[in-house]
Amino acid sequence: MIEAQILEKAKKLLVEQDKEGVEAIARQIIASGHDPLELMDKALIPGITEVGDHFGRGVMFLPELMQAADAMKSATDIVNDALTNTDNGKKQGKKGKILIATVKGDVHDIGKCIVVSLMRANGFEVFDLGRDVDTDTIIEKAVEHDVDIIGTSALLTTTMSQQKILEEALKSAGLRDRFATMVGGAPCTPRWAARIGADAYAEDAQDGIRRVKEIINGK
Amino acid sequence: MRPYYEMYSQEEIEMIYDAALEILADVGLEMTHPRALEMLEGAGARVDRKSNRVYFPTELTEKCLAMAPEEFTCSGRTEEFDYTAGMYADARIRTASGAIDRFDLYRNTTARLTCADIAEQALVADALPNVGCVGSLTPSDSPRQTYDIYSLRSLLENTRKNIWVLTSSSKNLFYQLKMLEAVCGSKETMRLGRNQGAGIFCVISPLTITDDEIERAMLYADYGLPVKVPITTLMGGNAPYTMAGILAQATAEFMGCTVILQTIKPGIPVWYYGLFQSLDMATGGVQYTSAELQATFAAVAQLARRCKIPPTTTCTTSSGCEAQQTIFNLAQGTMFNTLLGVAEQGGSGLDGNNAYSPHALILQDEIMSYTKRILRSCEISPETLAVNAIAEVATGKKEYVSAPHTLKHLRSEERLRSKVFSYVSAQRWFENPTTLMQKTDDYLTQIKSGHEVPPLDDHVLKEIDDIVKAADKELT
Repeated sequence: MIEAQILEKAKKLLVEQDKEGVEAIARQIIASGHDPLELMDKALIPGITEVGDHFGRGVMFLPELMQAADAMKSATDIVNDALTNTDNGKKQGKKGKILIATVKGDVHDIGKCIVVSLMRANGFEVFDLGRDVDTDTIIEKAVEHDVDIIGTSALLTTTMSQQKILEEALKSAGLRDRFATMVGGAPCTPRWAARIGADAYAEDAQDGIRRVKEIINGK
Repeated sequence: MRPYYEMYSQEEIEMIYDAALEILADVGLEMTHPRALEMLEGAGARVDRKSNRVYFPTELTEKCLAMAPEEFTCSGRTEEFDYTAGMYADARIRTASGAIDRFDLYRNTTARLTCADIAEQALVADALPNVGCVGSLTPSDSPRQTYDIYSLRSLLENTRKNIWVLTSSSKNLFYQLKMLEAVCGSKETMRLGRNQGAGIFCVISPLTITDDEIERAMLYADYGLPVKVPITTLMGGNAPYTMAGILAQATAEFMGCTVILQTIKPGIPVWYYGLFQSLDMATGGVQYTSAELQATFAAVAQLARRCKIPPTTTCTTSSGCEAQQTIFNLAQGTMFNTLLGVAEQGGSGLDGNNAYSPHALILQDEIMSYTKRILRSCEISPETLAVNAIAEVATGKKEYVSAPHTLKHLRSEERLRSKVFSYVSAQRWFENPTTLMQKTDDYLTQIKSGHEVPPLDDHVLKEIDDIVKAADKELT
């Protein structure tokens, strides 16, 4: 059992977005022979939940959320490495896996980056392919990582058609039922999502989290 | 010269100006267009082809800023519809540009824009006295690949005002310029200034210029169109979080774009267009209007005057198309920008310019008339000071309604009367309550049924039609 004081310290460091501090304490706890899953369940997850709560209430702001998410990812990697090296061998289960990309021809990605941070902060495993990503690459990587959801972002009316092309490509490849799809970006609307056959539309990052949770819980 | 308000000290503006020069000289722009790199190198810029960066020495930047005209004419279909762009010119509205939805503020409905809606904007803009430039919109009922060409056709057929020719690519722009040529008569006429259009040259913040942007700039320059340089940057996103920081980066971007444009065509008219947005750190959403953004536009006005180049800004709304907040945004933005001396300002675009609203356009026109009337102040003269009239009335009938002085000035002393505001007493109003939106909608109906734009000649219409067909054939 990890001392309550140490767990509280780990959680506090995460809430304070002290990435180096979180990494150091995670390594220290694991080196002492303690259970990495206990660290995750009793310190890191409550910490990132608190961060999400603070953001929702307007106490913390976006850059702080992204810093905390970055620290969480780093700590999770340390925990997972430790689990791989133990008899347990069972990696920290993520709530779900999402692949996200800005579509081909579009270089806008600030909104997408915010979504990625928020999703990681909520415990989802996110594969961010970046911007200007073609449909074939999106599908290839979705299969490779065996994701649950493919999310695409388009900020231009001229590039949003790529979201429709993705839907058609998934159908042609016989993969449509394997992945849930979600669209977002300024020109996108619920009507657009319905028209192209996407499973969900996210108005903004927080709406995206809600939709992702609905999809994952519905699986 | 009409009065204007300057919020920042000369020293503060010089600090931003100097920071911008430093950014251009030391950080440069990211560019890869081979021909542009050659031209800039020839002009004195330092080109690093390994890192794809171009560095602009201060002497080059200031030389190019000086090449751009301080004032120029933006032409309409005929001279009657021209307007002047300049640091001290009469204020004008530029209508919503790039929008994809039409929002009806009176009925609270929204729908994807169509070519008919673009024609509506063009017609309404043609009728309103303060509109100088009509922006291109994004129709949903045209081929996806040529929507900008269809948009221009709707505008050319329905307005005599100057048109902001937005384009999706240099390939499309070729056809759009051909359409303008058909209306204006010849390319030579366009180069001489009768082109009914203005172009756009965009930077992707931070500090990146794409190859196709250069191709488009070359086309605009070839046809003689003046070019707006919108710096569409997100405070805290792709620009610094601090207001001074976004001003430094944006001004550097504007200056860099001006160097490129002047290198392509010396003397090409440009605007410094501050189209900043703000990343709301509390929600991750985008604010298109805020007190902070308005304060940065005030600096843009002064920085543009420092560069001796016309400024333009905007006052789009963040409200997501809610009427009362829209009116607030339009009123504060239009009045404040006009007070700052910004001669051309956008607006009437809702939801960050994703939506166009004919009601917002009419209201903005009213607000601008109101503001300009305030700034015209009044004539101060011995006659208008009315000392003799005061002496007569104060010692006599004690009312001015029937006084000779009143009758003498009744028609000449200006009184603005709005087309849509209400002037009845509260009691009368309650007997027949009519909202501002309702009156605006009535006026919109009046314009649509009563205002006429003389049609283009049949041969011009046919030529435009042929160009659209050719564009569809090549591009779809």
